[in-house]
Amino acid sequence: MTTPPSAAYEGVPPTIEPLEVPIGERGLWRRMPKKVWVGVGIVATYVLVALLAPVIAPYDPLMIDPANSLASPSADHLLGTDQLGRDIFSRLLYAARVDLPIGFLGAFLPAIAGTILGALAGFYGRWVDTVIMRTADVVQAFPAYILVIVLVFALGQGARSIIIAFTVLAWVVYARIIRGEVLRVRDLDYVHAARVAGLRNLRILRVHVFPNVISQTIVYLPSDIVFATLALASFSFLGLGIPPPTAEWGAMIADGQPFITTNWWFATVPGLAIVGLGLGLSLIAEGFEEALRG
Amino acid sequence: MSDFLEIKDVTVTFKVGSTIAARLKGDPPPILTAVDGISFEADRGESIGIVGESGCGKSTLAKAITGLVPVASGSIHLDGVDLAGKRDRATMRRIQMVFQDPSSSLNPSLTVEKMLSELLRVHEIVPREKIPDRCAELLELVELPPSLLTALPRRLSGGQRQRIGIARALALEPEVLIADEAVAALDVSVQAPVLNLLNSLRENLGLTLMFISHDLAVVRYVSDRVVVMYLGRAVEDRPTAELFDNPRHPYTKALMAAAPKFGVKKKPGESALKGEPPSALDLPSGCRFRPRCPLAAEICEQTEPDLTGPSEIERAACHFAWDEAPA
Amino acid sequence: MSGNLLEVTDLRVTFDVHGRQVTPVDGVSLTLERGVALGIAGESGSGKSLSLKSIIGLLPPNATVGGELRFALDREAPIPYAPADVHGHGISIIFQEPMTALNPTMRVGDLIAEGPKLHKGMGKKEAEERAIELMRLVGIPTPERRARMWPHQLSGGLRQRVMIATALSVEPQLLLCDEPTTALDVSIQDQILGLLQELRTRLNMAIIFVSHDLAVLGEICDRLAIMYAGRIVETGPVDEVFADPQHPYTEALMTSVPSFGATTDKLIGIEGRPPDPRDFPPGCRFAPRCDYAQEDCTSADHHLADVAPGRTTACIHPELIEGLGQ
Repeated sequence: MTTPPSAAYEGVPPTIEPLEVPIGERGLWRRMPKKVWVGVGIVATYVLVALLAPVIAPYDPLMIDPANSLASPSADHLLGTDQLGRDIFSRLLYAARVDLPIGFLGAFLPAIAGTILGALAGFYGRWVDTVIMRTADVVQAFPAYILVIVLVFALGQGARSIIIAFTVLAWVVYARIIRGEVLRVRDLDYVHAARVAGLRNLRILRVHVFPNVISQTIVYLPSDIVFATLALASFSFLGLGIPPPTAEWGAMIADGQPFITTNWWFATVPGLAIVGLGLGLSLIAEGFEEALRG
Repeated sequence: MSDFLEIKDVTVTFKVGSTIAARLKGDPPPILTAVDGISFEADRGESIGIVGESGCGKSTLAKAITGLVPVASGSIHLDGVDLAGKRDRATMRRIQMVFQDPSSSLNPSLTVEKMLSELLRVHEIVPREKIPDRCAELLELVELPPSLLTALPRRLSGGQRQRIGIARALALEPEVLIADEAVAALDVSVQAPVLNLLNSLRENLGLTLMFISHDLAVVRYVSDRVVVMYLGRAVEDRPTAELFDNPRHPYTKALMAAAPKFGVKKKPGESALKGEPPSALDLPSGCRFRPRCPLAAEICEQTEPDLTGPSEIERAACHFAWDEAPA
Repeated sequence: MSGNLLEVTDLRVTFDVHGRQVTPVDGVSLTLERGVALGIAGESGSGKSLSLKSIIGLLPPNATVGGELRFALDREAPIPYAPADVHGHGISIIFQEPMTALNPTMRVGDLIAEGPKLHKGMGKKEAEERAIELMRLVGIPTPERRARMWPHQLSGGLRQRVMIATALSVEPQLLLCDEPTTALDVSIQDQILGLLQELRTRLNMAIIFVSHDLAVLGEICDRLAIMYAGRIVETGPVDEVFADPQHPYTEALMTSVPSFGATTDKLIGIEGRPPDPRDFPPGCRFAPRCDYAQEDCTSADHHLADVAPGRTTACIHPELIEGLGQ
């Protein structure tokens, strides 16, 4: 045999069916692998830090002390100070209060919008599909950063503009994923069965289609939060993000960049903060995927 | 006409391929006629078998009768009511269907109880407080223990899923039950009990059963009458015993010769059915079975034979079907 | 050692599933002579397909194979082999679903020519000619034109013929068939079975044909092995097994199939379902579902024993089987 027949190689042990009659179903939550809880722990720590920042931060994150600029880590300043003499540790903690809400909202809003629009487009087809998906094409054809610049100019700099910009840009991905899934599920026999049973379209969409495609959004969402946080960092870097002097990880990386050879921790530590958040969220995403497949 | 389910000249068409490409070439947009003028009647409580190979339109016919795909022309009457146009919920309820693939016919995110109670609630079959009892009764009807109510489909075996599929159809207390290859995906030892279940449900509930299958032996086991389909048309429509004893259409004969028969020694590859069916988009002139038919003559090229016979219930669509007296 | 082409002794396939050992093939032994067609019948999960795949080494990486396999590559004494050795050297396999088994990015002609190029050292031109020849052999009309087509452009029947041509391209002495006609229409199935039968006599090729369909096996096979829960429970010449089953499971399978030739009053079927491979019952694995089960059935493991010349059964009470009243 010359061509490896993929179906034959992709062996999984034969389906093993439980002998006993199932009494109850283990819920999705009980099926979650451990890594999800590790991820949840990491993300919860970030949330806790954001909430408690005013309590645990030793300094005011905005307090300038020019006499003590670019200090090395010490007992007074755990992570040293920046070019204006502000305490980097305190700024790191306070930045969570900016980055987390923007990251979460900037990912959740487009996810919700995209999922609903994609589901409608896939389920109803025809003109609904045409209108939604052509709009998606237009958004995607537009250079993302130009769109952000236009929006920030129109709405003014700040968290609100950033979140709106993310929503306008990022729903497209969700819409495409979910539309594809809905197109697949729409032709499965259980959806046909629901139609034959005379159920209304909206009920079929809500009960028989939506719950079976939503997993794609859930799997994609955590990585999108990371993406939103990173994008916020690059926007801040370009001066389109959160205006100074507010502490924000992206802006801190930008601030620290000129001093990377002398004070390497200055830019590295906020970078690590983003990486840590990303790790926690990916663990959740992966675990969700496994549990949903399970 | 006292017939309960009356299918008359039903035709179902689909647009296929690119309409734009066809228009650019100046051709009419390609249209595939999946079901081409099928007519038959079924009495209340009768069991009709529909047999044919893939692509013959048997599943499309089932979908047309349930209202899943629109009928291009012809009519479907149920108990004298014309089912043309958009059907309301009460009408949909009267014709239910059991699907082929047990792995995709149940919503993976609903437990058996949620799935059944949704239907009972929406159709107001029983008062709300009686719904849990009714769910358990439905499982009993399909010979499953009530403990399965809390199970998600992936915890069920193929045979159990197929029974749940039948329970779902029965939840709406239909008058017509269409089973589309309902046992094709099951192991033989599981097939038999499901077939027995369908037979007993038909007897006990007075259901009209339309059993669609490629498997002649299975159809013989559950049907009073058999309609054989080829490329969208009915080629033979006769009572089961007569059809199997003395098939009249050469296609029916060939199908029977090709099917491996358990307990009957036969050499494979000796059926008269050579080649493969032509594309439904490019049908031959005259009789559409002509290119593969051992009896093909000149008349077959010119005229498409009608589905006729000595009586209403004995019909075949071949110019030579009734040449010899029925045995 | 006789002139057996293939000897399988005590084949075991074990999977590690989340730290648990599952053995869906548990001690299968069989011998096959040259040119003989052996059918393996069983339901899903019986281990019939896994047994077949372990003969050609197509098991997933988390499987361990135990037991001994011997294959006579030529007329010398049979040698134990690593399955990789027989790839392209005497054993080929065809599958149920030709669409997933044929590489969709290669033209049909190139697919078939690959074997001769790799294993027979043919040049491009020669291998292409050989491919056309093979396509003609398996009855593909206008092979020159179809050799340039992609798998998706062919019908299911033609795709199955292409897969057979691919399998034949390495001139196998043994062709393994894993439900190759299950996905096909009856008329096409009949053609493919006829083709296999013809090729078998022409090329003096042995066949192992795995199927759930007893009627199909009855047409194509000389001998039959019935598998249940990872073990062979009965073997014998096809006609004899059908006429006089010596294991209750064989009998139960036969009474589950609606007869084509006559009106069947009531199918019997089998109560319950096959056991979970994680938890096989002790003794005879069919005993919990068996109408004839006796107390001693569950006591010890029962192995295949001769009941008549050429016939074996794992049932210790074959005398209880009433027969089908034929």
